[in-house]
Amino acid sequence: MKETKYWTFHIFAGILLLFVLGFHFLYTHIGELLFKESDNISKELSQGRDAKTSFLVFFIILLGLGLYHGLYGLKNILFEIFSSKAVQKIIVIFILLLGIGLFFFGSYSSYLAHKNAAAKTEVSHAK
Amino acid sequence: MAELNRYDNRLGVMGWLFKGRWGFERYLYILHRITGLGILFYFLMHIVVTSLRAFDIYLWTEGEFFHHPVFRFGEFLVFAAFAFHAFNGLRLVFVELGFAVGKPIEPVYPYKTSLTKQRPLFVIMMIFAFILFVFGTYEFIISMGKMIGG
Amino acid sequence: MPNEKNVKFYIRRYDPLKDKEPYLRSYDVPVSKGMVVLDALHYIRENLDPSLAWRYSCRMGVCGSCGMLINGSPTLACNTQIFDISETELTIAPLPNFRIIKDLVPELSPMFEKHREILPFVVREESELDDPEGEFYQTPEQLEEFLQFTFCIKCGCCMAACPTLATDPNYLGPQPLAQAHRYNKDTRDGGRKARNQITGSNDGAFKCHYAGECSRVCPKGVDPAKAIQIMKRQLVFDFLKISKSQKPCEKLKGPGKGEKKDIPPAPTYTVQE
Repeated sequence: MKETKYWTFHIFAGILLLFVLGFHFLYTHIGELLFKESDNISKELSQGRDAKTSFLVFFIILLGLGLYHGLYGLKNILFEIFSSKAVQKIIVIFILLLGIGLFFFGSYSSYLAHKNAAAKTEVSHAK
Repeated sequence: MAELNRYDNRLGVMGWLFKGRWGFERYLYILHRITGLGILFYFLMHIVVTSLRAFDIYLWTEGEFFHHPVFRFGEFLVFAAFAFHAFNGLRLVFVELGFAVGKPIEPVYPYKTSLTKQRPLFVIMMIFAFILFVFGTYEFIISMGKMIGG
Repeated sequence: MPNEKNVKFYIRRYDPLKDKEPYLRSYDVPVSKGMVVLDALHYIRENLDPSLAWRYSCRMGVCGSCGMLINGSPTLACNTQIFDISETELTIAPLPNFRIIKDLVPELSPMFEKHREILPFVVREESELDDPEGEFYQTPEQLEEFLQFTFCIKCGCCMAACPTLATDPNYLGPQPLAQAHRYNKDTRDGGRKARNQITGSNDGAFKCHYAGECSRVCPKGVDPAKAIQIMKRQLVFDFLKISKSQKPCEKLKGPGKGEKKDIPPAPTYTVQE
């Protein structure tokens, strides 16, 4: 029944991603129609987002959901191509390392960026 | 008696698409996989590139590579893939949880299958995907226009 | 549609004693209206090549022996009209995703082994064996929940069409999974929990991604894809513990002894004595 658990999470992560990733696209990457501003990814705007704690939480949720949904899908495809148990073990280890590694790297970087950006805004406010 | 040879007739990865007269849903399933892999590849790259901002490296504002029309077109393709993958995925959620395949019926020739039952859902989802795709195309054309026009 | 015409048959041949690889061989067969592919195979063996091997038995779509890949689609040779598919040429190959024994004869035993794995029978308490009397009560609505899936003849066409099985020999496949669902849904059965361990495993129902091929090719209209999707919902609901608890139905102990639940009365006699 383990697979049932993983698959259920995969489906729920997919449904949540539709909204989370949808928001990320609309807010950050398709600004032209909604905000008349396509350059939503300039350094200043990006740092402005980083300064907010809500965006830090949002990034980490997006990162976790995306990595789980995507890498579980990749595992499924690879498991169907390589049916030998030994190879499947290597695939699981590789995907787990990749997923956990990128999750911590991404979260930590977002946290650092958040800290730096928050400090900068405080300085500019103080001025 | 000596053991007779058996010929392994498994179709292999090529059999996902070729080696037979297959139905429409099979091609959707392959396209879902391809778009999923494309998005995943971009996503992994995106994580690394955006994470570098913690060390004050803003590659997407500085690097020329990320402003090259070829890369921008690649991003546009990723968005198109997202539009398809998202709404086809939503159809699959309904179908794979057994909500859009109908109830068991008595099989009377010519047989009606769950495939025809879920097809209206596919059409509705593809209309949504198309609307999202038009959004992305508009954005892509505008941003390319700005880039070329300076 | 012509009444009579010569049709070229390309047949995939393989002799395990002589050949390393299967190869195509062509035969000209005079086809008349109403002939099925099985008739043409008989014509070839009787008149053109007595060494051609294939498996068949009932000649009327009941036994499930003559499944083969006809013009790229797995189906039964006995209920496929030649002129319905082509008037000029036809390619016949053994069912893919099974090993070939000879010519058009696939080795179906892996499918039967997987079928055996999923407990394809009504599971009841052992103690009932001591008291075998009585019968089960099941409404027509309860029967309809699984009746469609009981028509499976185990021909293997769905297994041959499945894209997951094209690469993954461990996957259970549409036939065993649909049968697992058929018994899960039976109100007399109490084996769902045990079956969930197999169908909810790594090689079970979640390797189905709804390519729908099995339902499209099934010569009996069983719709295995439908069964698998409904089973997935059941698996997820069982995991989330939100499914209705289903106890196997009680036995009715002989006329007048057991509990009768709104059994409709028998219709009145239409013929007066």
